[in-house]
Amino acid sequence: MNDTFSKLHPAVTFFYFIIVLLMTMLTMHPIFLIIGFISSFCYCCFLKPWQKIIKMICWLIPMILFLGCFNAFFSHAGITMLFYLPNGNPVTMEAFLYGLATATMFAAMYMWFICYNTVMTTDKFLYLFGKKLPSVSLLLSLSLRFIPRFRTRICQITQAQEQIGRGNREGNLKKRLQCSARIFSIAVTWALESGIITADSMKSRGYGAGKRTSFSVYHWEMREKMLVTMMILLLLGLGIAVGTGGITVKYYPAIVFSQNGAMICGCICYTVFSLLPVIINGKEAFVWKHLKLDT
Amino acid sequence: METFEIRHLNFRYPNGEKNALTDISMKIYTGQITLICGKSGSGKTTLLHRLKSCLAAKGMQSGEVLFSGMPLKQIPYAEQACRIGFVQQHPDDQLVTDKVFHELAFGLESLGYDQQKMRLRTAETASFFGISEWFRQDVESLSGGYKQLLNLASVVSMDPEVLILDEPTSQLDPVAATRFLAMIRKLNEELGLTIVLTEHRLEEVLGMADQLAILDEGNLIAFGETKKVIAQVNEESVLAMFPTSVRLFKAAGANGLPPLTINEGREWLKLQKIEQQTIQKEKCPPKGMPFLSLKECHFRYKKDGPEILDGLSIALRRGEIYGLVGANGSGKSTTLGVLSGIYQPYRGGIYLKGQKIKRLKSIKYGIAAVPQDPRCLFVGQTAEADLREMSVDESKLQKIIELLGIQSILKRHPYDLSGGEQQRLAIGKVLLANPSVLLLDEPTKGMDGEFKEVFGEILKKMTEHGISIFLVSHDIEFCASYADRCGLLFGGRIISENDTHLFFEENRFYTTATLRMCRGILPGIVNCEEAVKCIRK
Repeated sequence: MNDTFSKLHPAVTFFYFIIVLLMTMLTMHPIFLIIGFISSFCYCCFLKPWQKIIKMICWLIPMILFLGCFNAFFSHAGITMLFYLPNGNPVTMEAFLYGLATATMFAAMYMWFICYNTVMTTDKFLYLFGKKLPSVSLLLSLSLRFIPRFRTRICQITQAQEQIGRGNREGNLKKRLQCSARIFSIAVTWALESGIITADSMKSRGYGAGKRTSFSVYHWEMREKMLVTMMILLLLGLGIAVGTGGITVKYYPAIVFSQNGAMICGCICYTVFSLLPVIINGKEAFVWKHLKLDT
Repeated sequence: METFEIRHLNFRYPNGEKNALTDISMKIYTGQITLICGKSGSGKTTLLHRLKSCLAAKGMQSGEVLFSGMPLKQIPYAEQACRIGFVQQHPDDQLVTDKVFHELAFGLESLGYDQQKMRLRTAETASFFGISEWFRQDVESLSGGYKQLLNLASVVSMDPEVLILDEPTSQLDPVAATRFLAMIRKLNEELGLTIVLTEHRLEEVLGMADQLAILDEGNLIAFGETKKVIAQVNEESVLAMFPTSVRLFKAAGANGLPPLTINEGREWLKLQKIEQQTIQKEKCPPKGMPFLSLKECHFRYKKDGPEILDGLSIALRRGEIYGLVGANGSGKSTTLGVLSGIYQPYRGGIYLKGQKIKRLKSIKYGIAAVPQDPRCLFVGQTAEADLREMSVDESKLQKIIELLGIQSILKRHPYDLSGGEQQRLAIGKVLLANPSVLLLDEPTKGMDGEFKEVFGEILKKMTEHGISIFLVSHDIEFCASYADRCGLLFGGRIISENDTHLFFEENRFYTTATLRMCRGILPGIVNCEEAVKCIRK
C-alpha cells in the first residue's frame, strides 16, 4: 500500500502516534472511544491487506463481547438490573457497558500499535533518538544487522551438522541438547571471528576518529510544517474541551457523560486528528485521480 | 609520482619464527594499477596491511613506508582513514550497518561530516556505482557480489586517493567478479584512483595491471611493468598461477613480451608451428550401475513459487567425479540440497543402488555434503581435536590424515588455516563419517592455483577408495582437469552431459580458457596441461 503518511518526517509521525495513543488511553468517554476505534480501524485497513484485517476482526469482536460479559458477571455495581445469576448476584447494564468500553479501548490501542509498527520502522526510531546518542544508535544498527545474520548461520550450521550425523532433530533428548549446544557454540565462535573483520573494517573507515555525526534520509519540508501547525491547533481545541469538562464520564452507579458544547468541540478536533493519515491518503488519491482525468 | 614508496621493509609477527616480509622495496605510482600476486601464505595480506597503520598488526618492523613522500606513521588516523581506502576479502563480514545508505555514510559519519555534504557524497557514489535503486534496502537482501560492490562503494564515498584491495573477488562467482573488476577499472580510468590489489585468479586482472609484483615466502622476487616481469619469470611454481596464454608462451620457450588475454594468446598461437598430437585419454571413466540417481525431479521452495528443479535427472556412478556447472540461479545448490536430503522433491524419484527410496537421510545412506563454508563444521581448539571428535578409530584417523596430507596443520586452530586448508580439514571430518558419496559445494573457492592441483589429486585418490564425488562449481578449469563427467544445468534441468573432454569440446562459451584460446588451432585440447604437452613435443 502506498501510504503517504509514512513518508512524512519521522518526528511528525512519532508525534502523531504519541498523541493518539495517549488520548485512547486517557478517556473512557463512549463517543471518544468509538472515534478512536473507528479511526484506528480505518488506518489499519489502509496499511494492511484485507486478509489480515478479516483475521483481526475475527478475534477482536468476540474479545470485546467476552470482556463485556466477563465484567458484567464479576462486577455487580450499577443501578439498571438486567437479571439475576443463579447464585443470586445481579447482572447490571452499567457493568456490561463498562466492560465493553474497556475492551474497545484495548482494541483501539491494539490497532494503533499495529499501525505504529508498520509506519515507525526501526530506522526511523533510530534516526529520532540516535542524533543525541550516535554511539547508541550505531550499536542498535549493528545488532539489527547481526541478529538476522546469526539466524541464517545457525540454519547453515544445523544443515552441515546433520550431514555428519550431528543434527539436533534426531536421537534422544540428551543427544539433541548436546547437538544444539554444539551448533550454538560454532555459531558464536564464527560470529566472534567475523567480528574481528568487522572491527577492522570500522577502524579502516575512521571509526573513533572524532565526534560522530548521524546521516539521515529524511527531509523537513513545508508539508511537515503545515501538518505540525494543524496538529497543534487541533490539540489546543482538544485541550480546551478536556479543560472545560468535555470528556468527563461516570459509569457507576449510573452512566453519566458530558453532552455539552465542549464535548462536541472536542469530538470534532479528535476525529480530525485521529483521521489525519486517512485524510492525507484520501487527498492524495483524489489528486491522482484528478491528474489522470486531466491527461 | 609515487603514492607509496616502500623502503627495505622487514616484518616479523610477535611469535613468528621467521620474517613474514623480507627486505621489500617497491614504488607504487599514482594513477596506476599495481597487482601483487603470490601463493597463499606468501605475505600478500601482511604487505597490504602495512600500507595502512590502523590495520598493521603489531610486530617487529624495520624499513619504512612513505605515503605521498611522508612517513606513513606520521599521517594522522583520520587522514589515513579518508585518503587510503581498504577493501578486504569477505563481503559479509565487512558490512557494519543494516541499511545500504547507512553503510555508504558510515565513514563520513565517523569523520564528522555535516548532513548536506553526506547527502551529496552518498548520492554521488550511489549514482556512480549504479546502486541508487537499492539505496534504502537492507544490506542483508543483497547477494554476495553486490555486498562486495557496496563495500567498495562505501570506501569510495570517503574520496580516497588510493584503493587497497585484498583478494576482493575470491569469494565471488565469476559474473560478480567480472562486474567488480570492471568497476575497479572504471575507478582507475575515470577518477584516476591509484589501485593496489592482490588476486589469485589472474585471468582477468593481469590484462588491466600496469605493474606486477610477485611475492614468495615474504620475498619480492619480481617487480615492474607487467609484461616485462612475466618475461623474466621462469620458475615452474610461480608460472602455475598465470593464465593459459602465459603458460603456453613459456612452455614454448618463446622470448619477448607474453600474451596476456585470450585474444592475444590466439594471435600468438596462430604464428606457431605445431605438429598435431593425438591426445591419449589417461583413464576411462567408470561405467556401470549408477550409485545414486535422481529421475525427473521437480522442486520448488513455495507452493506458488517458481519451479527451481524442472525435471532434473542425474546419475552418479561409483568411484567417479561428477562436475555440475551452470550459472547462478540455475538450481545448482538446490540440486545439492536434494541429493543430501535437505530438500524433498515434490515429484520424481530418488534411487539408491537402483532401489527407489522415499526420503534420503543423508548419512544413513552413506551420503555426506561438505558445506560451502567449512567453518560450519569446526568445534575443536586444534585441527586434530576436530578430527578426533568424529572417530576414535586411530588407524582410520591416520589413514585420512595421510590421504588429505594435513599432517602439518594438526596442531593449529581451524580458524587460523587458509581457505584451502580449511576445506581439506572439513573433508577429513566428513570422511570420518564413512560416506560413499561426497557432495562438494564450490570447493575451490578461495584456493590458489597450486593448492587446487593438490586438492584435485586428493579427490582422485578418494575415488580410488571407491568414493563417488559430486561437485558443484563455477570453476570450469578445475572441473575440466579433474572431473570424469560434467553436466550443464540450466533452468532446473540438465541441458548437456558427457565425459568431461567431450563435454567441454562441444561448448562454445561455457568452456575452459585453454579451449577458447586453442579452438580451431589446436583441436581437441581442453586443459592447459594437454596444451603444454602439445607445444613441448
